[in-house]
Amino acid sequence: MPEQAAHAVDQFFRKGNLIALRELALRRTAERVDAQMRTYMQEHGIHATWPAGERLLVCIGPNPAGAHLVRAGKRMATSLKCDWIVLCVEPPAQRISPADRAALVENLQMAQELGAQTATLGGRSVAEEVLAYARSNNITKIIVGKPTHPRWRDKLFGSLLDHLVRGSGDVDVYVITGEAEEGPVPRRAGGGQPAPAAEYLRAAAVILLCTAVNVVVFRFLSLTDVAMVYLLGVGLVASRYGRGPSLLASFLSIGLFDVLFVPPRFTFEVSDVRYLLTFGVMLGIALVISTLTLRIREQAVTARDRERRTAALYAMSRELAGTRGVSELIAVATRHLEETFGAAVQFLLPDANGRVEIPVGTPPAFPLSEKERSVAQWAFDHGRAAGAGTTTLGGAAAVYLPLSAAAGVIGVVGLRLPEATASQEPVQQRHLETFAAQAGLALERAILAERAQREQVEIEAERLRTSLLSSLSHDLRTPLGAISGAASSLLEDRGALVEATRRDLLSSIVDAVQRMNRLIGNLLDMIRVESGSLQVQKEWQPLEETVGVALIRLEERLRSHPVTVSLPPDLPLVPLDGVLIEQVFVNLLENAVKYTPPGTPVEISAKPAEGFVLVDVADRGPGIPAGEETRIFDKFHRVAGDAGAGGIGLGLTICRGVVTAHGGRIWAENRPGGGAVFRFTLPLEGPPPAVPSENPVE
Amino acid sequence: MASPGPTVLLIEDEPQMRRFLRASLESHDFQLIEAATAREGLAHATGRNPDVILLDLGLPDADGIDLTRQIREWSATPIIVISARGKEQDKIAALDAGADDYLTKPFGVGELLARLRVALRHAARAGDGRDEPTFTSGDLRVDLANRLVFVGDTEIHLTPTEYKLLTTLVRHAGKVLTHRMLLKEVWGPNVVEHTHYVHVYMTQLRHKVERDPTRPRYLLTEPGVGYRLKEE
Repeated sequence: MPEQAAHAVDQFFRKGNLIALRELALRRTAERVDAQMRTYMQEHGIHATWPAGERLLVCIGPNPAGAHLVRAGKRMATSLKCDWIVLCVEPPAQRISPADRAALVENLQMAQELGAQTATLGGRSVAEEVLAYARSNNITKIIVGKPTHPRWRDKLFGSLLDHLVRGSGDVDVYVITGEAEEGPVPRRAGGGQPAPAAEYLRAAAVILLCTAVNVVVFRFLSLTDVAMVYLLGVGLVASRYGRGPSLLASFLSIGLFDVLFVPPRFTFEVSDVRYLLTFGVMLGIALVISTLTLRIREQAVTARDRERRTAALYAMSRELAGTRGVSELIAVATRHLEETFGAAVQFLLPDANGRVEIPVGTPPAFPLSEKERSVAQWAFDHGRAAGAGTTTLGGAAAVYLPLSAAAGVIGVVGLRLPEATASQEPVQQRHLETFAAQAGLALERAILAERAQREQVEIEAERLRTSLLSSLSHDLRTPLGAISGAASSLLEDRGALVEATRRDLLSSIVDAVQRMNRLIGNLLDMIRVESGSLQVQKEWQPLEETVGVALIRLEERLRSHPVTVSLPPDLPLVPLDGVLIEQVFVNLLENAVKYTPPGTPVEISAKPAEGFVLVDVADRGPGIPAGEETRIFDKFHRVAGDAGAGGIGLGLTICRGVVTAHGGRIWAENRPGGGAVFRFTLPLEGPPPAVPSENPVE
Repeated sequence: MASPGPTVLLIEDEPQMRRFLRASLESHDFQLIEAATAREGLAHATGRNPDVILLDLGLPDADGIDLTRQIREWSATPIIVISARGKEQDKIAALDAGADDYLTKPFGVGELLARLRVALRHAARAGDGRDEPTFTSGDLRVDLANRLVFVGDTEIHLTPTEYKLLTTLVRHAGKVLTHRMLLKEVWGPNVVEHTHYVHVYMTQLRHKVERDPTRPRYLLTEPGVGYRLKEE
């Protein structure tokens, strides 16, 4: 040991190491405090920047120069030992060439690998987006690239840099030069998508039409007016079609104007230099208008696209909000994701061991190999997107997004997009993440609700267990005590007991046993009702017989209460399980005996109604306390102050179970004139079966 | 010394039950053969020729209903099965398999002895091959020879089906008859599923015979199993 300590002093506790450790500790502290401060700012709605710690924002655009900016950001972040964020403000999608897009994705990936957070924002006003983001994220320094385009563009269209610097307020803006390695920023692919041939034909047709008009009106008008007509044509074409057709239109009109109208006519020669200016203006106007048109169209497309996605997101959120239950939520979210992204969608939820699995009972939306599974697992474990089109495990067939919620990652959603490259679009990726976040929050809500419900059920079960135990220990021990006492008295008897006492002891044993038997019978019935193993074997039979069996069974106990039975002669046969309905009558009658004073009458009656038979068991006792009408059917519920009545509060619960299993309903009311009435219905389920009739003989 | 009483074969696996039954039966002059398993019971049933068999349906080594069927293949010895409440299907199955009656646990000695006496009397009568010409139970009197039914002094008019139902019960007075047995006896073997026939005619019969049809004295319902005509 001492040797090891000495070794450690030499090798590990060196000054350099100790300083490094101290720095690590301080940095960790600073990060924590920073995180807390940001939370505080969010909570208190503070929008200004608190320059308490440095936070770096690197803005990159869709061009290869971004790589240099990212590296510069990394260097600066390392030297400042601060968090850094790489932000890409994406202009409308059509204006980016595939090469630029690839570069952008590559740069964002590189930024992530270098430890930056990345974000992508959409929008036309780059400067405003960047500044808004910087303020909401407490950014202290912004890094942007030095502009490489000619100065006149800034004069004409406004400069991003200028906007940024003016609007930055207390945020420092660093302008980094693009290095030689990058070369000039490639021009955007001119005019976006190529116009279809039909547009060229239409452009030519428009100009030919102009020419026809000009030929007709030329003799009345001056050359300038002819040029104006062409200008109108070019303007029309430029406003409707792309740049190609516009250029075609302007060249065509210049040519036709020159050949047909500019003297000397029918040659390409131009007699006057000022016509060259006219040609130049026509060309310029065509370019300007077509560029503007193109931009408006792009904006419209972008807006429509965003509108569509927002609407889709809203539709999903709204439906999710109205859905209960985890599996239903998953079904809704799956449907919306499939519709919006045209992808095969598979939700995966963690099992008890934290392994993400397909929820039980759903077929997989696409084959989930071991490899795909491990990608999904990675996404779940790290809380970051993985799979196709992402920086991590990009070889997978699908992209897996974590379902993040307040309490952490609660699952993974896998999407197999129609083409593997589709998810590389940062905007699309962001949309996916938004959808996944929405679904995650909704799912968390459902999972929490289900958990709460389960816990509620468990609490309820626990409460039941407790009251069952206390009931049982009391209600079974009391008769057991009586039996044990009486039996041991008889056993110890050496002829001292008179015959009457002996008989008394014996009958108390028999009474206690009967009481226990009833109790256990009730418990067993309860278990059958509760466990759902209650099998109702219905047979069409007269109610009278079932009532009769109950009355005979309770004959002894009903001695104190006169029972009248009034069943109308036209009462039809009722489909019922004789044994179970008998138990209902027995329990209701026992209740009446327990809760009403001796001598008060009990009335059993029934009457047919539309589709069912209504049965009443009525007494003239104290009635049901207000507010207890429903609760008396609850398990182990006893009306306050009935401790002396005996029983464990299961009778009515069993009644409810049996009647419900018959498809009927049971409830209790207070009778006018005093007393309670328990009423239940038994559905008739169609006409009673026929019985062969016969003529009375003998 | 009186002649030895009838022999009861008790097939029951619970020692507590055996102890209670031994005490009760021996004090009422029955001779007892005890078997704790179905195998043992079957051996005793063949070897010892008991007068009546008490069979618990809940044996550990075999199904009591199968055992009933096995015994019935070669013996007409009355079988009374013992079963718990809520096992109505088992009771019906045992009765349909040839058991003569059943007892529901827990039961008293009075009930047990009554069932044993009924079983023994029916066995004896079956051996005689002739029925009593009149049946009487309380106020109910059935004159089988003249096909007349009286309650007290009043003659009761029954339909042919009602009469047939009543006489079927009279022939097996004191014994339980399942719905199926009654249907087969009264309506023939083709309608044994139409349980409601029995219910309807039994209700009609009660309204004619019983003073209070909701508290029958003679035509007793065995819930979920069948009917029994009370014997006195």
